[in-house]
Amino acid sequence: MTQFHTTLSRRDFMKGLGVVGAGVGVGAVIPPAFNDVDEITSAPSAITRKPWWVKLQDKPTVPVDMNTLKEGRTRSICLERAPGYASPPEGAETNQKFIDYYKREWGEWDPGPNCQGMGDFPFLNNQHVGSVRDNALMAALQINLFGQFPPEVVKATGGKFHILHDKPAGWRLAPPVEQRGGTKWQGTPEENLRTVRAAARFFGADDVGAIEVDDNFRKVMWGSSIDLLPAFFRGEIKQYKLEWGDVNDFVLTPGPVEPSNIVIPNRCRYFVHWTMRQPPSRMRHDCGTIQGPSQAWTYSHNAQIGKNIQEFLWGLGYIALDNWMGYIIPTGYTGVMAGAGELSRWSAVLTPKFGATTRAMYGFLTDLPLAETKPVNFGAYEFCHTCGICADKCPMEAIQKGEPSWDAPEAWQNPGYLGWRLDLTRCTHCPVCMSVCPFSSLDNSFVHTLVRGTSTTTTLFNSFFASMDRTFGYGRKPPEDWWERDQTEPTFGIDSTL
Amino acid sequence: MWFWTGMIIGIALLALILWLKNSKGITVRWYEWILVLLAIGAGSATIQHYFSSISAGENIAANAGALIFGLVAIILFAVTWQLVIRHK
Repeated sequence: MTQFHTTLSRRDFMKGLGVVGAGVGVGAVIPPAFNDVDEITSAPSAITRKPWWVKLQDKPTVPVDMNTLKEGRTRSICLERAPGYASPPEGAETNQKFIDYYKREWGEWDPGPNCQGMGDFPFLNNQHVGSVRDNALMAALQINLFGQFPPEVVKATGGKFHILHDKPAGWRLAPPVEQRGGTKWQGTPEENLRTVRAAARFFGADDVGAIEVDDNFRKVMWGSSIDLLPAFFRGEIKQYKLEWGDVNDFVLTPGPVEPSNIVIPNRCRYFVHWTMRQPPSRMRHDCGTIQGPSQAWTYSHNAQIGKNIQEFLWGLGYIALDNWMGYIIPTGYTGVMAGAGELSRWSAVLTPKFGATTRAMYGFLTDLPLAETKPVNFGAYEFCHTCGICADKCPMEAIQKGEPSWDAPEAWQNPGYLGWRLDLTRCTHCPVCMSVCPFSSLDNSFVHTLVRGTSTTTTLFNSFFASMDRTFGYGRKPPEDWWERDQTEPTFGIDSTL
Repeated sequence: MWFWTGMIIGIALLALILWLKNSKGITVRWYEWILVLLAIGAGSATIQHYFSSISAGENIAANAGALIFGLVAIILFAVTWQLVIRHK
């Protein structure tokens, strides 16, 4: 006969009580990590504030093996196919696949005019983003898209200047601060992080973090990089080399514009990381055989915000090299290590507050000393194991299903981390996966706070939560509905308050 | 909004207690208070979820959530009511 009894004797219970009591006593005697309120408010974790359900930890949630992680191997470019590079698919067949997909989604979908002459993907002219209203949004966002100068301006410079990012080390429009009767800003690493964060958010960024340049950083960094822009807009692939040296400032040869070689001063031991969201309320309504208006909105703004931050650092008296578009190091690595988010199934960084709708994940190598921010854990990497909504909804089946893997079968992929790898030869950068991710939900219902708090703590309910997300109809919304909505959302559709 | 929500719920509860005590002579036991509080919690959750979902354009989620949490609130209210009137 089975007997139910407690396995805890009275003696053990009393002993346990003693251990707990001793623990509490020791806890009271050991000095706290913070000595006063000033220390608490100046800690990097307080400066880059995260929602309460986010845990900070020393290592990222994605397992990384630095011994097998290869430098400079993830290569994608939005150009015609080039050896060793993954390029998005194109052609009538792909377009039709999307048109059919949106028709299945909404019953009917008007592809509208094509995107000829628009600079988002200049080699893929025959793209569609929906009816003429939606298409007009894309047309409007050609202004400053990727920080491009209008063709007449490019022509007037004899083709020397194309975009705001012609100069990776910055324009430095203001003379050095010492020449203007001042001295360079001197602050503690915590003050510096707070200062850059305040300025970056003033310019339009969302989150700011920092990591120190260590051996791992240098390993992951490109040994050489591709000059995505402006050569991109000329239809070229142009490489430039990156190396470290005992130099006082960045040495760009043959010159500051479109250099083919950059020597980075060894004293640039910090990487400041910044993010920017794309308008999520528009995102859910975007349809496109290629990137939609909300993505274009971000690219027409983040180029300037990045340059604002870089010029701000220069104004403080410090130098900075731009990692816009991952020029110098993969943005997934910096985003995860600086605590912007966790690596996810769609193979980009999933952020705690904005989910998959954070578009800019850039930064700068700088000599401004910065307090390090830690990787975060809000249960996203684990949630992706059981969720898989993005992979199921991907029109091109580009997102890896099943369990994460160390394998990197393609030349342009990177081994060394246990993750999911996006098939960049299939992904057209359409707006679907970003809008269906459960972490991209917009509303302030208590349910989401409850779910986030729970999935950070335990994986037990993740499958249930993913099922509920499907049942409750979160995610994609009809494109025409966006035009009829009450305009009660914040300007840009982004509430970046924490 | 939360200030006014709390104020209205507080006044309504006070009025209910006074009315039950003075006019009807109804007594409420301690566990029935717990049930009432749970019911109020479920009701508030229903309202919060519904309106925040609607404002974000999540109509299906608003209705589904209202159904689930609203049912819980109604059941809790009904059970409490029956318990109270049976020992009046």
